[in-house]
Formats: sequence, C-alpha cells, structure tokens
Amino acid sequence: MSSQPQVRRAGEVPAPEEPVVVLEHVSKTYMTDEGPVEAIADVSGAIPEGRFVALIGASGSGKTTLLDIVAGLQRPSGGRVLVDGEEVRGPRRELAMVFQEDSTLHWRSVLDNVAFGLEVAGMGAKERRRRAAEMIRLVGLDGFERQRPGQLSGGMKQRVAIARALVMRPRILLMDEPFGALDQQTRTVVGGELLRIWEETRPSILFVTHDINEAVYLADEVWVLSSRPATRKAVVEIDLERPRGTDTLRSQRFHALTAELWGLIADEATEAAA
Amino acid sequence: MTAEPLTQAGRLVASGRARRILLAPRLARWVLVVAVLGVLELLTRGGAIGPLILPPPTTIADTLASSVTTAQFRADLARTASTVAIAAACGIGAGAVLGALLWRVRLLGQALEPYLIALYAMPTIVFYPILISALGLGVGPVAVIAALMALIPVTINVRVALASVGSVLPKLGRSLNVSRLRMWRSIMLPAATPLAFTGVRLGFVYATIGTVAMEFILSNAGLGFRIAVDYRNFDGAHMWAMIVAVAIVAILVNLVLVGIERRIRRDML
Amino acid sequence: MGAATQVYAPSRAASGARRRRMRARATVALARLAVVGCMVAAWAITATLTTSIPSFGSTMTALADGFGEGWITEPLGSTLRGAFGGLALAALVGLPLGAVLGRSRWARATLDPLLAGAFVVPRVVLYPALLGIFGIGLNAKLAMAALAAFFPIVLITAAAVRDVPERLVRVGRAYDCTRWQLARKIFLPATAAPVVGAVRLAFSVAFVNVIIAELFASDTGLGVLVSQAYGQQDLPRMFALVTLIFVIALVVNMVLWASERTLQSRL
Repeated sequence: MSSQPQVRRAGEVPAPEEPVVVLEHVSKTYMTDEGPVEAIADVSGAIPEGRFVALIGASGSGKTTLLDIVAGLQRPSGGRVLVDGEEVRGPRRELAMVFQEDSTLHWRSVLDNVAFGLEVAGMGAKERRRRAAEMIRLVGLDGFERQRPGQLSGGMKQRVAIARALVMRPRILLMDEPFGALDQQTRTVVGGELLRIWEETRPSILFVTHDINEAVYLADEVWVLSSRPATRKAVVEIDLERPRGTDTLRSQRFHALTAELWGLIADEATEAAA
Repeated sequence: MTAEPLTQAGRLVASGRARRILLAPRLARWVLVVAVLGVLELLTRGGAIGPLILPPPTTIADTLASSVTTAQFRADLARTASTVAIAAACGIGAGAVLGALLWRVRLLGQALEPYLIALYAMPTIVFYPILISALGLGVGPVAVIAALMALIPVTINVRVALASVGSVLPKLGRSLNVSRLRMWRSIMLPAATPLAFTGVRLGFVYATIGTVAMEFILSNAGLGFRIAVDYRNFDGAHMWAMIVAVAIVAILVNLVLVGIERRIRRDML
Repeated sequence: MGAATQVYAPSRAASGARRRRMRARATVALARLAVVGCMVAAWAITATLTTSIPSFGSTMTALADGFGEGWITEPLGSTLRGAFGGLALAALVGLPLGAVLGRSRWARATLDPLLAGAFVVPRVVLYPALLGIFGIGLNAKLAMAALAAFFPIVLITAAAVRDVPERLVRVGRAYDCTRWQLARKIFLPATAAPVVGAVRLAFSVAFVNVIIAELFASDTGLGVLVSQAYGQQDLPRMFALVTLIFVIALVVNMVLWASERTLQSRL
C-alpha cells in the first residue's frame, strides 16, 4: 500500500506525496419547495495517502452529503472531487464506503457478505471466498464465517461492513458515522479495532463523526465543518503518538485537543440545538 | 408460536406462578378439541342439536372415511385443487407485479391505497355475471374471482415488503455500482422476501376461500359445489363430511406455508 | 413514526416544512380523486364497446331510482344491520378474549394454531348450518358476520396486546395500578390503533360474508337484490347495486382507517 522508498540525492528535498483525494471548492445546493437550500458552500481539502482524516460538525451540517459527493453517490453543484487526479463522476473501485446503519445482507452468511463487493465485480467464487476469509480473520471475526448477520451484535455487524469495504482494497475508505448506532463501550472497542486493522492495510480514511473524542482518538487530522451552508472551518492536526490506546485517552494532549475542537464547534452546536 | 416442551409446566410451577395444573399447550389443545367434539357428540346424539343442523361427529367421520375413496370425491377435490392452484398462481403473480409497481411509482401507490383497502370488503363475486358473458360457464369465472381475491393481500404485502427494505441497502448497491438487474436479484428481492412471503401465504388462503365460496354459491363444480348440493338434498352427514374435508385441506396447505414462512424468516430476516 | 433527531430549525423553515407536507397531502388527495375519474372514464368507454356492461348514466339513474322509489332502502338496512350487528357481537366477545390471549403466553400457545386454522377455512360453507339454527332471517346473517369478524379481531387484538412493550406495563405497576387501571391507562392507548385496524378488517370480512350469504339464501338484503337483478337481466340495476356496495366498503374503511392513523400518530 505504501509507495516505494524514494531514491534521493544529497541535498534534494523529497517531493510531497500526491494526495489521493482532492476536494476543489465543492458545493451542493438542493432545490426545495421554498427555493434553493445551500447545504455545502465551499469545501476544499486534500487527503494524502494513508492518512486518517476525521470530519466533524454539528448535526445537519451536511457531513453525510459531503461524504456522498466524495463517494460519487451525488454530484456536486459546484467544484469537483479528484481521486488520483481523475474527477469523480460516479462510484469507483478506489472508494469503499461504510454506513452508519446496519448494511449487512441478512440472508447471506458473513463470508458471503464480505465477498459481496468482489462478487459484484465479477471475481470467481473460490478466489473471492479466500480473500473474504482473510479479511474476516483480520477484523477478528474468524469462526463466524457461516453465521448469519442476524445472530451478530451491532459491533460485529459493523466489523462485517468494514471487512466488506476493505476486501475491495480501496485507496480510500469513506466512513459515515459507522459507530454511531453502537453504545459507548462497543464504540471504543471497535474504534481500537479499526485502528489496528488500519495499521495493517493503510488506506486513506475519511471518517465522519459527531463525537469529538472519537475523532481525536482515531485521526491524524480533524476537519471541522461549519453548520449550513457548510465550509471547512478549520483543520486541527492530531499529533498524538501511535499506536494509540486507553492511556492516550487520559493524556493531557488529548484533553487539550478535544477542548480546542469543542471550542471550534461550540457556537455551531449551540445554534443548532436552539 | 413455538411448540413448548412439557417442562413448561414444570417451569411455571417452579416459578410459583402456576396456580392450577397447566398442561403443555400442545396437549391442552388436543384436550380442548376432544372435549368440544365430545360435547357435540353428546348433544347431537341426545337430540339437543337436530341432525339437519349437525349430525354426530362420529357419523361425520364415518361418512368422510367412506367418501374419500369415491370417484366423485376425487373429481371434486381435483377440480377445487386445480382451480385454487390456477387462481393462486395468477393472483400472486399479478399481485407481486402490481405491488412492485405501486411501490416504484410512489404517487400511484398512495393514490390506489384506499381503493385496495376497500376491496378487502368487496364481495368480488358480484363481478361474476360479467365474467360469465366473457368466459362462459366453467372454471374461468371462479378462477378469476378467486385470483382477484388473492391479488389484493399480495399487492398490499409486496408493496409493504419493498418499502421495508430501507435506504441503506440500495445505497450499498449503488456504491458498488451494481447493475439494475443485480440490484433486484441480490438486494431488493431477498431483502423483501420475508415480508412478501406473508402476502404469498395470504394469497393462497384467499384463493382457497374464494374458490370454495364461489363453487358454493354459483353451483359450478368442485367441493364447494358438493356442499351446496348436499345442503339442498338434506344430506347433512355428507355435507359436513365435505366441510371437514375442505377444512383439513385448507389447514394443511396453510401449515405447510407457515412452515416455509418460518424457515424464510429464520434464514433471511 | 420515528421522531427525527433533527435540529430545531428556525420558524421559517418549520412552516416551510409544514407547507411542503400539506402540498404533498393535497397531491395525494388529488391523485385519489383522479383514480375515481379514471375508473368512471374506463367504465364509460367499455360500456360503449359491449352490451354486458350498462352505461354509467343508466346505472346512476337506477341507483337514484332505488333510493327515490325506495326499493333499496330496506334491503340496504338489513345488510348493514347484519354486518354491523355481527361486527359488534364479534367485538364484544373477541376484544376481551384477544386481550386475555395477548397477556397469557400459555393461552396463546394453545389457541393460536386453532384460531389460525379456523381462519383459513372458508366460513361461508357454514352458512347452511346457521340457516338451520336461525331460519332465513336477519339472525342467520348476524351469526355469519359475527363468525367471520371474530377471527381477525381476536388474532389482531392478541398480537397488539402482546406487542405492548413490557416497560410500559412496568411503569403502570410502579404506580401501583390495579388491573383495571392498567387496562385503561396503559393497554388501551397502546393498542388503540391496531385494534381499530382489526375492527376495520373485521368489518370488511363481515360485510363480504353477509352479502355472500344473501346471495345464497336470505329474506332480504343487497345480495338478494343483486341476485334478483341478475335473474331479471337488469344490468343497470345490478351495476348500481355493485357500485353502492363498493361505496359502502370504501366509506367505512376510510373512516376507520383515518381514525386508525390518527391514533397511530398520537402514540
């Protein structure tokens, strides 16, 4: 997944890595009966290779819409999204998505769930099952291959969704509040699992959440979205050391970062709750 | 409703909640049925219930046993069964397509909704005369009416089933760039099947009820017709034997379908 | 209806949302009227193509005559009395029985298969027995309707009572409610909507069965009129009666459906 080490001559400054995803002045306006509603005003940014980016903002600030646009599920009204230099016009192989709600196919086994994307892409049964089994092991669900999703807990079902996304070997993983429906404890555990899995596979990740603690815990940088019409209000670099663990959660730096972020979205959140 | 083991009584007693002797439900059911039959036997033999209304259950059982081997019964059964099969197939097929259409074109579904609901209360039999002039006498009108009766619950249930799939799974499909055919085959249809099958089962039930009722009223042929004929000939025992036969067939078919439905729910929900 | 965890928007957007909803509802209502229009149009067109379907005009005339001359009123009353009377009887017995069934796992496990089995049997074939007991008048129809309406009421009420979340019951018990208070304050509002749905379905079944019974044998009623009109080949009269039957089915269902939805939304 990581690029070849560059051969550098003495004195040469290494060229910066080409970002995987580039957002150029993305905007989105909906037509409603009352007239146009501007959901996203202007969001620009770049996500480098292997970087974990969290996207936070108050409820209703268009985070999901933005993610959908990056995923190619919606077209932007203005601006564009580039993946590997190419404009995104629809869903692409390089992008895989994990949703907040349970998206497992209840009539299929866990193995066939994880293999679903590969099946759609036309891969043969033996190969895709092999890869799916590998990924199932990686996400810590081995032993559950033959089970039905209906027999799994919420956290496990999300792990199935993550496995299904990762088995496609995406360049970037788009996650829309994937742990939102889980309780606090499960969320922390699965979050740690996600980091472990990510260390092994290293896609870029764009992770939408409304939970500041989660964002700081997981990400390399956090983008703060203003409320409607959304703009990228700020970018906070998370310089916490990896691998992160429960002591990270108690560190001074963690608290400082979360306080900083809370300050940034406080006014938006208060206005939204009014 | 699951079959509960005999230890259910034990559990209830142990938990202190049983204040009287409780039999396991399966056993209690048979006790109830036998008790009711026993009471009926006494009342009918004693003369409290006249033979024209209800002959003794034992007589009915005898008559039934001797009738099932006759050619007449076999012909009646074949006629009714084939009509039910045709009606169910057409009603369920048309109902599924219509239900999908009403789901796809949302406004159409909402516009037709009240009329579909009202059709449950509509004795579709009253369309018989039009059907006779169109299809002539015979199995046609009966099958069409029974098919209409089957169509309504199937349409309603298929529509509800498709609506219940939600938005995440189609979104997943779109994010994987699935073709239209695959969206239906691998996502929509399997996701909708558990709820839709309830509609299919109801379709069968109504097709059966409709067929027998039409045969009964319109003196066509089949088991329903036989019941009407027996009534007019004052042959109480044979009439009730046929009623029991119809009941047994209907209950058996329903049980099979309930079994399938349960299996589907277990595997697919 | 799940309440959206939505942001409380400023009042302008809220009234906008309300306006949108009302516009959507108006569109649906218009579409439903349009369906009637289409049905009438289709009727008028097919009537010109075949003699076995009378024209819309002649049918409406026959219907008006029926009320004007009065040959519809008494049979209509008899049919409605049979249907509603049977429904009332079935509700009287079925509602409490359904409630008891809903709360008792044992009773449910025992009786559910029996009730479900009885439901799938064509009940109309029992009508001759009822004729034997009650004679050919209103009572036989009442009994038929009651028999038909009983099953949906019991089965659906039992399911509704069973589905009342246990936490609601615990709330009631925490306040030391008597059985009667529990029933009135917790179960009644919680099951109101599905029970009305059960009554609606029960009416439909009762109505259908009464008319079919009348087609078989009865002293008076809409079904009797239909079979008479058929015998006399009086097509406009027959179609007028069919239209009347459909309108009754539609109106009663709509009224009950509306109250069902109001109760549901208040939950």
